Amino acid sequence: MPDSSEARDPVEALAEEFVNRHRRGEKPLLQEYIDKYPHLAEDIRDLFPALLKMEKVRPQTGDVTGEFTDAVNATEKKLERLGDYRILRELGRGGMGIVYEAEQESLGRHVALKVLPHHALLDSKHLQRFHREAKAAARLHHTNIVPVYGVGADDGLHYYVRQFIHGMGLDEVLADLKRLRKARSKTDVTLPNRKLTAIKSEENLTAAGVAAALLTGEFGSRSMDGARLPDTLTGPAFHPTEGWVGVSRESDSSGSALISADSSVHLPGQTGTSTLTETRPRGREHPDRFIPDRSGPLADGKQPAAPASAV
Amino acid sequence: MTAETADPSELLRRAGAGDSQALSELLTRYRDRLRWIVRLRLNRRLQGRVDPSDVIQEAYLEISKNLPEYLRDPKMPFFLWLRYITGQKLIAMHRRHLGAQMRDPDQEVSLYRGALPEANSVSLAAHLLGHLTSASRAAIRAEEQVQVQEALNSLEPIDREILALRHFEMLSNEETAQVLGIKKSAASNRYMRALRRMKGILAAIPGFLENDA
Repeated sequence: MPDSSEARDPVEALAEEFVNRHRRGEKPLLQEYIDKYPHLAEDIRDLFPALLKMEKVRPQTGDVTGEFTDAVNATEKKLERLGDYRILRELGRGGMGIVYEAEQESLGRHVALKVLPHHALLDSKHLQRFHREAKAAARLHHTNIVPVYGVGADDGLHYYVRQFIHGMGLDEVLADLKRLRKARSKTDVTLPNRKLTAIKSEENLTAAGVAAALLTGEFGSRSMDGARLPDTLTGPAFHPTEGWVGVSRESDSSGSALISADSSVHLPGQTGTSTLTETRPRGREHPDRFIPDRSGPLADGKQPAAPASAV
Repeated sequence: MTAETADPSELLRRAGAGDSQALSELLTRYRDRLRWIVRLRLNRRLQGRVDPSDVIQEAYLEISKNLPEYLRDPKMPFFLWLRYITGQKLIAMHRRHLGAQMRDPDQEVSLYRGALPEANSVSLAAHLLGHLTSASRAAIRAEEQVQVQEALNSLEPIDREILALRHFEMLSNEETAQVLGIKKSAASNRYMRALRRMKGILAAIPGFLENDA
């Protein structure tokens, strides 16, 4: 029960009433309150418009001005099948579409299905870009490039299909590398060999993850919103806090994979091609970023091979 | 709001006696509101990574576990208790995902949940919206949301918080006082102070406070 002995600001009490009426769908007028409480007129006139504004900007349930992905959700929520493909789960989404893991039933294989959201079709340029991306990717044949199986449209939804590759998201890989670098910088000098070996094998695991991430690389499609990194299908990608993220893969002489990744290589104009290169992307160096410093000796005492493009 | 404002005591009594149907009915009532609170307070970087429903799911597990204990000695109204547990889960979720970089989820308020528009937020928002017919109206709204969001973020945390509680979580003065652990009179005064500051910022944007009445 409200305690009437509490001295509330009288304008605040009126404001609460005013706002409650407004929320019930009434359209209370400022003037009504001004007439009724002339001694508070100045505050009412001064503050109530701000109240209305605050109420107006409160997003509503199902508000279309919500997150981009919510808008997409609204149209794609019930996606269970597209042609021959049975949708298993969503893997990630970005400005140019949503990627699903799906089963191609006729062939019984797992695929990654990238679907262009309905509303993006409103802009025919997007559709063109989508097809160009699929075609460009289909022309490429390389161990490190995910093969394109097909492109199509079903029920007004445009999609293209690529091999499904297990791996971890680039964001996880980056976090992993960051963590490793920290561990390494702490232990560089005095670490016993056994521990170094452990770290190294962990890096190799991570290497597999990066390779997988590379294989599933998305081509082009700078995210319109930058709001979300796909969870598992991530190639060179736009990261909300890191900028454009490019990854390259190198091998050291012992044959174990060395990963060098540049967390913030800015790739202006890199919209139509992938950055799947064998060399370190050229760009500004950010020594404070996650890449493990390769200047230290490895567990076997060898110096690591210099990155091919080191300048 | 009508279902929410109905007296929950009968359902609560049944839920406390182990009636799971009653509990689920009770929780369903508040689901949208709690979901909205989570959305409002979810760190920008977790958008899209964390589904508000997951946070609420975790909260509900704990709520069903602790309900008997709560009912023995309710220290706050039921909704505020739900809100409290949900808040705890949200903090845990932030900690899990953001680790050391974590900011208190209470420190940020996001009204507009897309990428922050840069040069021309109206066109960008229009771009992001699915429905052409309402696009321009919604775009203007998005623009306003961005402006209010910026204004809010320039306020002192306590001012921001109290405005968020009153307007976005739609709590009453009494509930706000309980959530903040202060007297109703203090909550009332702080809200007015925050509102005046907010108004001062918004009034500096030409034409912003007109045409809404």
